[in-house]
Amino acid sequence: MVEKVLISGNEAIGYGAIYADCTHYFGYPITPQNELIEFMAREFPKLGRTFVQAESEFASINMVCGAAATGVRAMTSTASTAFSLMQEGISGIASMELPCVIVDVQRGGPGAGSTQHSQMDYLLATRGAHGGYKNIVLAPFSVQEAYELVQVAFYLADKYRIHVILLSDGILGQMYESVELKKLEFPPLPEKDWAVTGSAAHGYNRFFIHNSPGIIGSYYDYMKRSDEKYKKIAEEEVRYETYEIEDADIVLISYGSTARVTLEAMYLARDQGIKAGFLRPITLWPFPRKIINTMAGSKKKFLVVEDCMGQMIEDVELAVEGKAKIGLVGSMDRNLPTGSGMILSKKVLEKIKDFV
Amino acid sequence: MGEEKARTCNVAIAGYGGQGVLTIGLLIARAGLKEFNHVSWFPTYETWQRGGRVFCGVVLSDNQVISPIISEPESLIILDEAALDIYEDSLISGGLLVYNSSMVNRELKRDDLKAVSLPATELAKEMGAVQVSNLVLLGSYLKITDVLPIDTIESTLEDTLIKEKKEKLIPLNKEALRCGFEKM
Repeated sequence: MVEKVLISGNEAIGYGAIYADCTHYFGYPITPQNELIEFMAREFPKLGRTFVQAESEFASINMVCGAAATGVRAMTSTASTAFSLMQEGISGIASMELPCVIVDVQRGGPGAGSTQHSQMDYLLATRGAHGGYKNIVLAPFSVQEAYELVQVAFYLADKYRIHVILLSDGILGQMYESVELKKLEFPPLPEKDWAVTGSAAHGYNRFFIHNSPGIIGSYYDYMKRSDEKYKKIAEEEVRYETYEIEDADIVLISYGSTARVTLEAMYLARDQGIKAGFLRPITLWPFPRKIINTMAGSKKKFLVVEDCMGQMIEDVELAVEGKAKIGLVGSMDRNLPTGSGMILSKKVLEKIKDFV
Repeated sequence: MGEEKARTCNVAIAGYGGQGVLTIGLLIARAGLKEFNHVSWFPTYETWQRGGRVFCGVVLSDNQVISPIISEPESLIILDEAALDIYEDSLISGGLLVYNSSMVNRELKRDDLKAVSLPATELAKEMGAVQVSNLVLLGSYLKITDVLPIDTIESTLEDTLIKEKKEKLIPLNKEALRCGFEKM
């Protein structure tokens, strides 16, 4: 029998990292992800793995970069304010094509914003910093899934030699749910023959990884390689879940913690005879465009639920190609217009009724 | 077998920081895991530790919990008047309200609730520790709802206190829980 535990979404990411054989964690405390760094500080040393509390998030992302370059499974975690601080390092990691996992437990912004939940980093996570790179973004909606998707994140990172962002939020991070701790199994991965593990491993020839693909080596080769990689990921790694979309007149689209409220609203709407369905993107990049585009062709309406002023809705608009009506339930629909207010299923149901 | 309907129930708890709102919520959730397949506990609190508004919601279910964020709770445990002001309207019609009359000095606005009150703070003071007023209210809630057997809560409470190296507090905590239970 699989062990069932009651843990927070933040701790679940820690457990997932352990089960994914992550050996190196670097981080700096920030609300609302503190339970995660605390878990790592407590558990990693016990297992003989490396935990470093860096002097800043800028340092922790660069430590992840250095560790990942040696081929080990490395990760960091942070929250919005400091996720911004990491962008330069993430762009560097992208240039070096280093597999690693970066966790962002979203809080309110901009600036130091609030210490409470939000979903205001969607565009930053999916679009990234300078240089036109892409990265996989995974978005769990339950504590169980947070635990599982960290393992998926490490697998995909190594499969494609790419960094993966796990996009959580303050609600999901701090709430507790019962979780079955089972290790996921994955197909074999390519050997990390690119890792800098000392020149002996490379015939005593000079061997290094650098962040200047357009200065050292062929920039064209770098772009071609990246372009092919991104296309393959976009083709093969889209993940999503659907509920009752077949006969739906209105399809709700939501990710992360608001997806829970949205799912409840969908059932409430069905109880009242409204044909509502629900699509939950699990990969935010690559975004499930095809299925949305197909549904748009069959005259469905879409209602996007996200705790921001509208970010994922832009991806939905791109997918819909102007073929269907799209509405937003956003931060202004919180029950309280404050940092601690949140979007409730009751409100989503109201908006569904206004929209159909 | 197969005849029994899948159970699902929820409870929300609200008060101010330091009253043990989150603690009794977690206690219900931890004990709930022994009786239900799926459990969620969702907290929300202001940044400072004491004095800010604190709320948590617990869902216990035989099936997957759809949403841990409860719009309209079926039961509500209220520790002070400000919490009542915020959450009284959110209860479902006919819902259960258990509130601390030591810290609520007004009549209820609604008459469609199953409301019970007891002076939890006073009772806790008589036991020598105002901090256990939360458990007094929890005891009353358990007696009225039958959601969880009090023995399951008690054994979870003991395990938790032992884990936190606070064995000395077990008798006081159990006394508070039993007090609320027996007052109903």
